[in-house]
Amino acid sequence: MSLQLRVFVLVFSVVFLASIVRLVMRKRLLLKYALLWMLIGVLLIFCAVFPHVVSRASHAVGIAMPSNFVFFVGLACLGGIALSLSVIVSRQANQIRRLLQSTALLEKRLRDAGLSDGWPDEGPDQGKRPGAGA
Amino acid sequence: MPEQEGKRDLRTRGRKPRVLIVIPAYNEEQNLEELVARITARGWDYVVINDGSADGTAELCRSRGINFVDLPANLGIGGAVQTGHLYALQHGYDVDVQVDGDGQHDISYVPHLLAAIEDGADVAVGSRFVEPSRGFKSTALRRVGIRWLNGCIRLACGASITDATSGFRASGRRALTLFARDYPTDYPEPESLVAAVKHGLDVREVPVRMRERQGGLSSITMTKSVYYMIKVTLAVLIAGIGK
Repeated sequence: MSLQLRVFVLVFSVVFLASIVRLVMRKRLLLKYALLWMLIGVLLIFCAVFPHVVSRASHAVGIAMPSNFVFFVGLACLGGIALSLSVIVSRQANQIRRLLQSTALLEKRLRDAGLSDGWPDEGPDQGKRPGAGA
Repeated sequence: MPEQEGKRDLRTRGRKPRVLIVIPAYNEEQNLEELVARITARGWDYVVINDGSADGTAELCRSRGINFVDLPANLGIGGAVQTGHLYALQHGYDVDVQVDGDGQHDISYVPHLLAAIEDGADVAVGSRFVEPSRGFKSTALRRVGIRWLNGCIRLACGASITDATSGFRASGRRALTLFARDYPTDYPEPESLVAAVKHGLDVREVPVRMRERQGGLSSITMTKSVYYMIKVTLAVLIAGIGK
């Protein structure tokens, strides 16, 4: 790994990590979900600082070109993140289903008590019904 | 008198079980009113679960004083049915009977389902195929699919079920509790039966006749069939592996 490349990767990783931290600070990314991305940044820095570890590791698993090893690890990390996002989406789908169900049951009770006229007409939902109460 | 017929079966053992008819409805403004009228004529309690319909289902319910739970967005049949189970538990019902809002299910068979529950079943499934050649016609491809599905279910939990996709079913207390806690989302019928058997519930089939749809559109089109088969096969087999 050339010095030029190492410096480039180092600068890139630091900027990457900094922008992740910034997102967390601005509350636009939960730390919980930022950790995996931070791990990638840290791994990149590690590669730039200790390139011989990378080449030794790639030889150890039988990959001739260290760059291919890096590609593989990068792909694996992205795959892991994508899978964890699917898990998160699934969990949230379950939570949303529960939420909608209990909200609807609650609305029914309010309606029966004369305290609700149904859902508001407009809303950013996909189950939107036209002309409610119009 | 049909009303008497429905109640006699349930008086056999002390206290009369409280029965709720659950009607999941997605864009069913054409069929719903007639169905509700037929149910109330029999004196049964019912609740319509409006599954975020895009047509005037909610307005219809509101203007005609139909007892309904109004989901603020579309959850799909599984989520809607589960809402019905939750409603039934919340209001202290012993049995709920799921009847599709499209008029496909003939409610004169509801007492037969209730009789099976009264007899000790936890889930009573209204089946078109227990006694073959009764009314409902299906295509050859459909029959192959149904046979495949039945094989998967037998493999997954050992139960022989002839009409696993039937959404015409009664659930007793134990089934209500299980389904309220955990119910599959997309194409829930076969998978929920496997889950019920796996949890030691007594699942029985009761012969029923089903009508052709009265109006509206069926939710399963030909293009979705392949996806349906793959998804349900996997769901059934995975439900069979787990507890």
